[in-house]
Amino acid sequence: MADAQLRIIIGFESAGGTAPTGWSETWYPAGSNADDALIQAKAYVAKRKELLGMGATVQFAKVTNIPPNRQSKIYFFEGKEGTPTLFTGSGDQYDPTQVDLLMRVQSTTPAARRQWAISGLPDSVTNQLIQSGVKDTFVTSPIFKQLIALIKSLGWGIRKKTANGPPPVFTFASITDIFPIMVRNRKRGRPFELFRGRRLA
Amino acid sequence: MVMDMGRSCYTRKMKFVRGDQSQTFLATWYFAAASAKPFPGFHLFSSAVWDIVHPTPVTLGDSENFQKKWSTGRRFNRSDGTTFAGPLEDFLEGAAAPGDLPRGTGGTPVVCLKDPFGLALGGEDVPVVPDLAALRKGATDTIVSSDYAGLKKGGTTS
Repeated sequence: MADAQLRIIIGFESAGGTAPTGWSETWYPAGSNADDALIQAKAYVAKRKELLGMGATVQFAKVTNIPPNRQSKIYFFEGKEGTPTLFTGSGDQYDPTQVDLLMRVQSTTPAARRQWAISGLPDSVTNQLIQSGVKDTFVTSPIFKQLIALIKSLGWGIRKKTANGPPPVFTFASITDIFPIMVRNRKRGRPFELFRGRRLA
Repeated sequence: MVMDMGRSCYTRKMKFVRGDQSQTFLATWYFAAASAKPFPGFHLFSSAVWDIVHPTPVTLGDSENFQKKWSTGRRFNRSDGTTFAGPLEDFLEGAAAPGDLPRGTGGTPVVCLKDPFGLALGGEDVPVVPDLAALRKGATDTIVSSDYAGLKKGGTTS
């Protein structure tokens, strides 16, 4: 299948242990309509926020064309566009140890798979992971199921490199299943400086 | 206005003229003012740091074919980040020609400054507004109106 036409980047920030951190998730929607992709991003965030601990927030969603025509647009979920902080954590304390749940993302192409680290999990999830393990936590949590079902229903996919080039050649493979494989710690970078008014302009 | 998100800033040449990739300008990314708003629509001038493949060839905008130099992110203009300069379509298709915009103090395009534009940095407060210019520049309070000119200047009320 031909390469993806668009890319969605979701930006997060959290209090962290001793210093705030920021990270992003990258997703590839099917189709070429950028406005539709932004709508999909908002739908994803509305569900993704359920798996964020207190103090973690979704800051922005950015939709961009795959270059050479790099058209892009940013949508901010907090503050700047007057939107109240809708997408904050569930109320559980954010886990300062920066524990991630590592997921395997599989697609229509067996060789095309990727890892996805769900960061900023609330204590209610990480506690459950300790008590009953990764599988049971995933299986018993409706939030996980709903989030995975949403990603599949949106038709998002994986971008798989098929030739190194230059330039490299990619193909798009629709996501068929997502399931957890392990829990791990992961260091994340500095925040994107949203609240300090420090954005690229 | 807010064009992209990032953790640090830099200076690099960008391509910006429609249909002519040889024309470049030196663009400096800086941290936006707290009052800045996101650019209202899609544009070609996002940062190349978000590209997956490096370098990525692009038609217009931030190109990794040019060397990047770290910048402090300090703002050198007086824009509050709520307006943009030039036609909206130029940000999606490229500028029609490598022209220049009228600029005020600090290099900020005049259209990006608040009204009354033209406020000098460090100079006296002299707003350039047509109906008040003469008054603020120390002229006498003589209202030049066809109804009152004669009266105010000492004419009789006849």
